[in-house]
Amino acid sequence: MIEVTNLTKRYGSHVAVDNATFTIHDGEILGFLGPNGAGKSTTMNIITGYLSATSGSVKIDGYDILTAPLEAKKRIGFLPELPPLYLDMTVKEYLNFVYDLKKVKLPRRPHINEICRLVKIQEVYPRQIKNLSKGYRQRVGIAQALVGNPDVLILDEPTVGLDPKQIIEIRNLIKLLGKTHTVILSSHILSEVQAVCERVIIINQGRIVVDNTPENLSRIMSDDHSIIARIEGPRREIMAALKSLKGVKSVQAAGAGGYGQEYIINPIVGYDIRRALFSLLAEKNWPLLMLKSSEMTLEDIFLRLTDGTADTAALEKALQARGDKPQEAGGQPAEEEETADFAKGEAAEAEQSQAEEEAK
Amino acid sequence: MGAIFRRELKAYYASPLGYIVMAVFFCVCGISFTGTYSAGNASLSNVFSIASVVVFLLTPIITMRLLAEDKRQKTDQLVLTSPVSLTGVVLGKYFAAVVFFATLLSVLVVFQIIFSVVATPDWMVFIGSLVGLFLMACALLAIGLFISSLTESQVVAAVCSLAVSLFFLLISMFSSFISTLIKNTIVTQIVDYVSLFNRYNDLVTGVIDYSNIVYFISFVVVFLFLTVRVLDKKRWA
Repeated sequence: MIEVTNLTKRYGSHVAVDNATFTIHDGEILGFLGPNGAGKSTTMNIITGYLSATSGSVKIDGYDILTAPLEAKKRIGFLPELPPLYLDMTVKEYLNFVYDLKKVKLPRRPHINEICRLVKIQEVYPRQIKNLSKGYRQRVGIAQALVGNPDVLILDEPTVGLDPKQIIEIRNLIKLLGKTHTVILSSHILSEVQAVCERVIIINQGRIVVDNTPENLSRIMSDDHSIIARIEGPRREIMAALKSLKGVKSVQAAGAGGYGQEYIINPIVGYDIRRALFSLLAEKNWPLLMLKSSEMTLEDIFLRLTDGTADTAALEKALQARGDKPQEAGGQPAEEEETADFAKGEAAEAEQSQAEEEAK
Repeated sequence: MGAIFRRELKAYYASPLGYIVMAVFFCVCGISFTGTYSAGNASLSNVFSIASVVVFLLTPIITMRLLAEDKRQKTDQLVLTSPVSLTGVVLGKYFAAVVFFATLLSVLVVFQIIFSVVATPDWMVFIGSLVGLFLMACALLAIGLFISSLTESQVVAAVCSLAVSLFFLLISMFSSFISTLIKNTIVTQIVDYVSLFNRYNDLVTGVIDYSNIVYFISFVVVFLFLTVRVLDKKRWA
């Protein structure tokens, strides 16, 4: 179990991690999501004891990383953002070095062979690491984290640089490892976290914005279905016509160029405006060149979660649960209150979803 | 500590750098030895005096990689998140450098054996010189390791260590000159105290004075302690 309490990391005036509190239970696969520079790597580096926190504490199975580092580190396998490989060594030498470094008690040969089999690096085992491709280096990095079979695996963007086939393999491997290990992985790819994790923490600008299950997250996402349409014709008239369409909440003009102009249409929840849109355009004889539903990107979710303009019920609930806009959270007591509220909010949400199911 | 020691020692022999350092040292000592031998002189004192200057120039190259490279390659993320104490990490790396340097000195033993076949050299002077040279190098390696912990760049580490080495070398060479120039007992004492080379010269006479040995060892301990603190700083600050 990993307990992170009020973790804050400042670099001068820049706050990299801001008062993060969360607990990871045994056997959980937790995903850290966030854009670049959100504080994912910093948080992971602090949990593993590589960096210090400005304030707050990290406990691994009850051992504080600062006061009992050796006991805590024994329980962690860490894959940093850049795999920590000695390029002048062969894979064999390297894994044996890591084995010695971590003072592993398991039988050497079978243990290392088992790891090589798991991450599929047997064929490069005798080769020098500097001659390996990025994908293989990444796998050797994962192998390194597995040496000693630690209870907790912390993987910082484990699938970066891999080809699509390898990504799927590594995701399956992480799922497999998640059955026997506690796993924290970070990513900026939403689908990856959805595919692998049981719980998601979204970080933005050092703050935890959401701590929820991927199911809830995807519900939040699927409730939003703005449409992007490329339409040829007089811009102002089209805008006016689109806005007057039943069920349309707002319209924004987006990228022009080539033929026509793109419009982002936000419908009111529950309305499917596509048929109405078609009739309108056909009637006015404005050619519709493209129609697609906008995929809600991670960035969009962040924007919504942080600027408070979320329109869906679930999102409002999530915001409500956080007490207020996340940026405005105050000091210690407020934070505690917030967490309590959040728990309540989650419970309410669960109840609601249950009720919905029953209604069906 | 054992794992780090073995890895670092192996790394010296896995890169051209280790061999270049070896070649330079053997070459300089060899030329000096040939000169002494053909002059019919059965004393290694000339060889030692040249070797002792070369040591000042080579130790920065031996130590520059130790911690700087780890930081640049991010392998410190592995080492520092493993269940190894920081003291273990620093000692492992330091002893690897010391053992590598000790293998360089083996050539001097070979020279002495050659002399002992053809003549009867003074073994006490030889042992004193060897111990002195070794201890002086230990002190310089500790300084180099400390400087290597301060930077990510091997070049910066090498240049800074070299500058510090040269400072110690020059201050020793000009210590008598400095004390005639500035007639101040405190300055003279300070200069005398930081003169690594003068301590070495004391040992060269063959009289093994424990105060000199303690001096070098305390030098090593101080700089290794500082290195541990530099690594620890990251964890606390």
